[in-house]
Amino acid sequence: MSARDFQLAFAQLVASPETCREMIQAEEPFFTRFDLTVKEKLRLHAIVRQRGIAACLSLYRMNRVTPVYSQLSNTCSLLGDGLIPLVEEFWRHLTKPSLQFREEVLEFGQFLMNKIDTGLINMPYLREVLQLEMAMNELSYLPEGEYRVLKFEHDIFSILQSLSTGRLQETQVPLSEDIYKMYLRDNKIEIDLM
Amino acid sequence: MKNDERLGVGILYNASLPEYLEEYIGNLDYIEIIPDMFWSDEGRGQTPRFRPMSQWVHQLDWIAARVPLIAHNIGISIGTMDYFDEEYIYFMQEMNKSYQFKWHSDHLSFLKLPTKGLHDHNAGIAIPVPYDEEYLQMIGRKVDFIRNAIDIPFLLENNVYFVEYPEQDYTETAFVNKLAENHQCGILLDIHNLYANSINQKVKSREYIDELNMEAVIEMHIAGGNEMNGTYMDSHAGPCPDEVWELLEYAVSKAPNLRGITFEFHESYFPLLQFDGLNRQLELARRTWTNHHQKLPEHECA
Repeated sequence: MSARDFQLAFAQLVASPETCREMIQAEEPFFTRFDLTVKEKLRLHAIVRQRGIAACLSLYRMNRVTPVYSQLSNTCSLLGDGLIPLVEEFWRHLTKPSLQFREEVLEFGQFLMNKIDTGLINMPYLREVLQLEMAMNELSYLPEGEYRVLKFEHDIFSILQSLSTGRLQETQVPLSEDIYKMYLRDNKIEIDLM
Repeated sequence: MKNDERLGVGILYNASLPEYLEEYIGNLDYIEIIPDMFWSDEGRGQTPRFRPMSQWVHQLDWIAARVPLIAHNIGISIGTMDYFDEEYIYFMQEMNKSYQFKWHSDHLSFLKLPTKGLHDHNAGIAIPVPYDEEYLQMIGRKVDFIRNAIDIPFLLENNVYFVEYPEQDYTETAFVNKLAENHQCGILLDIHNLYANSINQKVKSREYIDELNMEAVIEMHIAGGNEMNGTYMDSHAGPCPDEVWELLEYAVSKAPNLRGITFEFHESYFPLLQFDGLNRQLELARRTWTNHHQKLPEHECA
């Protein structure tokens, strides 16, 4: 059991600079959470004091944020500097960090959507862009035949075009009542007006 | 066909490559894939457990029709204690029947931690195992299982590490050599990992190569990296540094059973490399390959 607990303890350290700092100040409270041998405690004591632990912490953050960036790229562009505090808040409550990041990205999208719904984030066009990218992300994991129906408050194509040229702030995007069907066909994601 | 052919120079597949491959796949002797990119894992005990992601599998089929494939796993997490995902291995067995991988590999580290839920916990980074007897026995048993289940060579890759465990039973080379000798696994020597360790941990690269059982080295990885806050990162950041090419030349000269040199880069660095930059890296790798292998790769002999 102890080697398994050692791995769990190490994983908790690389996931949290706060945990590393707490352990350096007082390691016994950290150790009591695990079943560890004297040698394993010695190793954790040494690891957390080595310069390289900072690289492990950075790598952990980069590896976690990269899938969010690549799968919700326009959402991240819109959030700008606001992204990092939001992902940090999200990581503190993360329940499904699986290998493929599928659930994690969707859960982050839902976390943002809840904040938009409750008015904690109020950013023009974020809802539309997030809706679109979450649907694309979900569909990319599903077989052909699955689809999503999407309704946007503003013209989604104008939003995307203005975002790609960096002119969204100064663009007056027209309102929209259009409904779209997004689906996978011939290995590509398509979107049609319904 | 006997599965011991020398392939030559390949690349690790990533999402930035489809356009490049359409034009330049002829520059490659093989492509290495990370299988987890192409299938969605629905979770332990689910039916089907693994579901093809049609956009990606379409690309994979296109590649498989043109060049040999190698599988480089991250999902086995061979270093996780008290854990072994046999469903994953049987899935790889099925994939091998479809795609006829020339060999497959994993890292000497743990990435997944077991949970009682559908999915294992992703540790976020590949954490090297301590080189202790306990871990040697555990990994050895898994290698035996994998080799029995999938009838192609299975390789283990040397780690890049940023922190060191005190009081290990073995050095990394002794640990890897024991696995190669006692469990007949091959070695994937990542030259850039070794280079990063030489900078960060003062590992003596050439001594490391001299200590390693180079007869068991089947594949080598090369890549670029960059410095972050005083640490050299194995970030696969574009072109290989000169020192990696020098080390590759030395390592290839000592590896009589080498079958492939694989260039790895992260897709976010494609704008830095572009088509010409990629071709240049492959050309340099091929120069080293041909310096030590007079015979052309089999598919060029026709």
